[in-house]
Amino acid sequence: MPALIELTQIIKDYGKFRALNGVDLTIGEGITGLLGPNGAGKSTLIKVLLGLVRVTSGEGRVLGHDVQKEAAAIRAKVGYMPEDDCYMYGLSGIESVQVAARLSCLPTTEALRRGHEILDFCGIGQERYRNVETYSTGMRQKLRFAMAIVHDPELLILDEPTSGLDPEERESMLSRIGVLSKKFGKAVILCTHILPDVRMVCDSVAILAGGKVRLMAPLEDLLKSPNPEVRLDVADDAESFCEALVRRGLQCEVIGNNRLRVFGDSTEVADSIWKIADEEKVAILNQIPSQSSLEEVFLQTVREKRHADS
Amino acid sequence: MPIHNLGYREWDGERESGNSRWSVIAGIGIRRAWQSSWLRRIAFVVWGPPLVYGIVIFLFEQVLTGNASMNPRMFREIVNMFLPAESVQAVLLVFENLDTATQQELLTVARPLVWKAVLLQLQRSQAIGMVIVVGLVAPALISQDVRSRAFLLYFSRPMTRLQYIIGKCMTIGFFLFLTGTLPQLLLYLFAVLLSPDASVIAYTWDLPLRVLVASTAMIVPTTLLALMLSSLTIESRFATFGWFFIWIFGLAAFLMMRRLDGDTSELVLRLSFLFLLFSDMSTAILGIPTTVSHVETQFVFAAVLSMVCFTVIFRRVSAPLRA
Repeated sequence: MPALIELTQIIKDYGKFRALNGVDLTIGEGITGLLGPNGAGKSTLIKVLLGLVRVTSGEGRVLGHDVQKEAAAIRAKVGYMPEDDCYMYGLSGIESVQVAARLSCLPTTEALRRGHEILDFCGIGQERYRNVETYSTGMRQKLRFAMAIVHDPELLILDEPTSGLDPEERESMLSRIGVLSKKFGKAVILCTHILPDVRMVCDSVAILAGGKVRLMAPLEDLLKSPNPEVRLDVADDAESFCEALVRRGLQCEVIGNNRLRVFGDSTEVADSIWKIADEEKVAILNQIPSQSSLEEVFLQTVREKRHADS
Repeated sequence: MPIHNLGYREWDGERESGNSRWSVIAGIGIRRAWQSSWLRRIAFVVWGPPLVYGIVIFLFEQVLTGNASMNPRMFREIVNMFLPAESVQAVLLVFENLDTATQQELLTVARPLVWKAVLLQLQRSQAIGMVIVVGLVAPALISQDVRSRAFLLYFSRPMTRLQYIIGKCMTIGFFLFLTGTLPQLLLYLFAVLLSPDASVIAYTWDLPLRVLVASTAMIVPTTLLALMLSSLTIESRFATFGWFFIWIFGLAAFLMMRRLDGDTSELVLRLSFLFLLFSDMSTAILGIPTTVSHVETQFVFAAVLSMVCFTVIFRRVSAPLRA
């Protein structure tokens, strides 16, 4: 997987305050969740990626361009959706998107045509002709998303794209992000505090804390439990089935009425379970491999950082 | 999915060069400002003085072409109402006592001088309207962007801060051109059309250029000053207040200092009121004889004022990105 973003030992100081403290980060294609507690340096990192602030030291390349020297080239290829409730005062929705397209060098007529297309894609109907000051928070959120993608960027940086959206709109937004990544090959950095969003769409996760990247791994690996197990719901007596499993060399424990837990989640364990169930004439209703929750991973990483600091 | 919704489509068309991004910013500002009905009214009203001075030019040309219904003395008295410039009055006084043949010989001197004086006077008479126009347009230009936190939307695009500031300046510049420079250029054109033949262009060709330079010398510091005030606040009404305060306070300071007779130097007196500063600069650029000294210092003052304002604007625009 080619690296779209490569940062090496990036340090950014604001006066005496060190916002980024030697960030090493490599991000490839797909959707990457950028997580971190408040004040972790996420916003500063985004500004560095966009070339909006000069780094104190370190090197970085985004889409092959140097973050220090080729900021304009980076911003031409990147779509950024800010977290702040920002808008262009006095313009209608369609005018805002058209302006965003024009600033990214699309010709005037094409900017208007594409603006309408993108607003359709983002689910903004006739409201597009209203001034943005009259929009609800959710509408402005969708409008900022439309402005971020109108120029067909290669990389999308989305800062809290689902905050302020109702559950239905949130799902639609995540679905759009998924379409852009899976169908159109856009790389996406999803900066959010909403961990279910990350679990729903992200391919990998980077956790930033104290101005450093503490963890960077595929989501699949992060969710693997350190003590793998399989939870089974059975239609018959769980205890007798558990005894049968133990007799065949599996480790097992009854954890409730018709529910039991088998330690290990390898293919062999799964095959054995189904074979034994067939022999014992036990109907398995559910087989759920256990996973670590992203919350646990996140909290553990942040705690480790605090522990290291203290 | 609605029938018109094509879903997402990739863009593979040509992109334009990024050099005209400032024009997008200017376009937004102009469109937004033009929504103000007050601005439209003022922009209409400031076209009144050019009509009056068009009549002056017409009468002047009547005198020069020897029209029986208009004698030079009557013209001088009419002109006196509109052109208090002493040098022009003196020229006309001499001019009316000359015989027709000599008058014709001196036309190449008298005509440009009167035209320049008319253009300068037109510029002065438009000043109040232009101050109001800037007061209506400028205060919201940057303050509203700060308030609505639009900077990130602008600067996450491949646009520089300089392009942004130029775009904002061009918004004000457009309205100042529309209400100040354009009427002057059209008045010059009107004067040429009223002249007996096209030969007048040969000795007045520099007038449109002088008008453009004089306008630029006024527009640049004015625009930057107004934009600086806008960048200093998120409440555009404070910027509006600051803008009008500068002009009213300047006038009051000028009147007070003039009453103090001799205690204040001529230069300080003229620098205190921006109207006089720009008027003196225009007089010098148009090439009208004047008794005002220290004009060079006034140019330097305007340049320094512009640079300070630009620096403040640049820092204020950069501040939200650094935070």
